[in-house]
Amino acid sequence: MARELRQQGLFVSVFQWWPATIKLLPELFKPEERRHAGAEETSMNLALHSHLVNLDKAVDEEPRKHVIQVEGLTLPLDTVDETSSGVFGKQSTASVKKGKLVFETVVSELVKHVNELKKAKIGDLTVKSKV
Amino acid sequence: MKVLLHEMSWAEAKEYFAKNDIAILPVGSNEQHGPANPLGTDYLIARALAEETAKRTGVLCLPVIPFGVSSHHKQFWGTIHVSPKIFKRYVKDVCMALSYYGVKKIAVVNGHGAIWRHSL
Repeated sequence: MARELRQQGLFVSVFQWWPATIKLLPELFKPEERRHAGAEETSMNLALHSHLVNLDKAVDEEPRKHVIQVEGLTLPLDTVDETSSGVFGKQSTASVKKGKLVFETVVSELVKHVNELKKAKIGDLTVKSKV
Repeated sequence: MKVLLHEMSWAEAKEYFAKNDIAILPVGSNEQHGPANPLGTDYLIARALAEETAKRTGVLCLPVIPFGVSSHHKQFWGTIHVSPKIFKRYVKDVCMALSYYGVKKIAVVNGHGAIWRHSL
């Protein structure tokens, strides 16, 4: 999609907050807290809209291993094949404090990117000619 | 100065587009995040990051696209999924609509990982 649009003279960047957090705050969460619905995402929810989070129902769940499992394999599995709760890993360690730190750190990075993009000349971003 | 497109009038939007060639587009999903978290987790986070960034940079922010590629969560109630093909087409059309007003640079703020494996 972004490649097709670039061909038409439109430059689309994609920013994702969780890869940024791993790089910018590597010590804040353990790997099992960074998975789907884990402490990282839950902390963001707590910082941004705590009234929508019910920590009494927080779950820590180690995903089940599928019966078919070797290195290098990709399977068409659904979440329900691996967890009963929908949580992958550890969620209960989430906190408002961690969420606020993540939000501020990520926004600073995103502001940097948007300002860079703002200044960039479109000629430097469009598809290059054949060599 | 307003930075959220849905809060502007067309006249205010015209003024922004006359002077700027950049916009921010938040995208996410409405899918399960366990019993403790809201279904809107992905799009709510993407929207919050995008809107705060818009306020700090003066760059226009579009309303969030709330539905994404989430069929792998469908057995958990309330997950609303669309196909990768439809999602890609929809986001592309939104970008083309911006292009019609002279936008040449779009920062997508994504709140949901699976989407971009299918769509970049």
